Amino acid sequence: MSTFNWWGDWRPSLTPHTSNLQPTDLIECTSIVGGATVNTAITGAQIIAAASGGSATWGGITGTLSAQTDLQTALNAKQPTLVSGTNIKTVNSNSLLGSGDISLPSNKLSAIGTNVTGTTANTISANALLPANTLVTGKPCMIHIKARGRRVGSSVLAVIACGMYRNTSVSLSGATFLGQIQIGATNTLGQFERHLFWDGAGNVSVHFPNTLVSDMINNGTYTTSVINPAVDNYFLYTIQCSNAGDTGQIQWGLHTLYA
Amino acid sequence: MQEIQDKFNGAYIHYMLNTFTYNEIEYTITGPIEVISETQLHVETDKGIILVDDTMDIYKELTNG
Repeated sequence: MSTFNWWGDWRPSLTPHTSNLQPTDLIECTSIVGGATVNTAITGAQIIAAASGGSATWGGITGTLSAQTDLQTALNAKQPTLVSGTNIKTVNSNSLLGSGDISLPSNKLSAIGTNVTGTTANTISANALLPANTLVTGKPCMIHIKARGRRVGSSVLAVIACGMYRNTSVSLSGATFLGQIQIGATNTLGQFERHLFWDGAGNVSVHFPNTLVSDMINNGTYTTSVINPAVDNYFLYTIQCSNAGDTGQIQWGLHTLYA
Repeated sequence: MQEIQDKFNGAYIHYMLNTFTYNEIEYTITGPIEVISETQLHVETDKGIILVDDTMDIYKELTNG
């Protein structure tokens, strides 16, 4: 006689199950307790509930990722890896990827000048930086430069001249002359302006003659000069006293870019 | 033939030099040279009006001419 003490109780009246376990499935087990048979029924729902309490080890899950369609759909909805210049734009050729800050040059830059006295040489009173790469190759623009000079004090010596130059350093040596006005009366102000056109290729042009108060109110020829946009450039605001005993100052200089 | 004009007395000095190089840029003198102070000139070139001062070699060449 067999020594098994439990077995499955097959009932020919039930339809055999051949597919995956369903919550409505019923499994019965029979065991011998004290010489009598005891039937125990287990539902498919109980087995499923017990199985779901387990956990998979991350990294130990096997299978095909795309078969998990909800996860694959969520992954598909994610933005792809950013590639500078491909799916994320650059700013003035600067990549936006990575950490840190990109300081953008201001399109306006003002300068406050200091007194010039004791010399008849043309002397820088104020300067303003035009940072490297502010002018962009292929993108022409206009640079509006204006300044206000002041003949300081009440001396009655001679006129002073207020000038504008540009250079790659804060130096008048080799600087390109842009414009000039003269102030005659003492303790008076003189304002003037120029418009430089950046052609997007390597040159700027400015109105000529260069002794106009404003190049907005006169027609005229222009002079063209080479500028390197890849390096820092400076607008230099100068004072020249005809008499060294006089004093002049650029009170304020400003350049503004119009793209 | 180039000419230098004194800003204050209007006198012209004729000068033959017509090119110079500064900071690796070659300039061609295209117009009058103006004396704006005892140490500075305005030189009209193909690249704009350039301030030339006595720290530049070309200054000595121009003023000694």
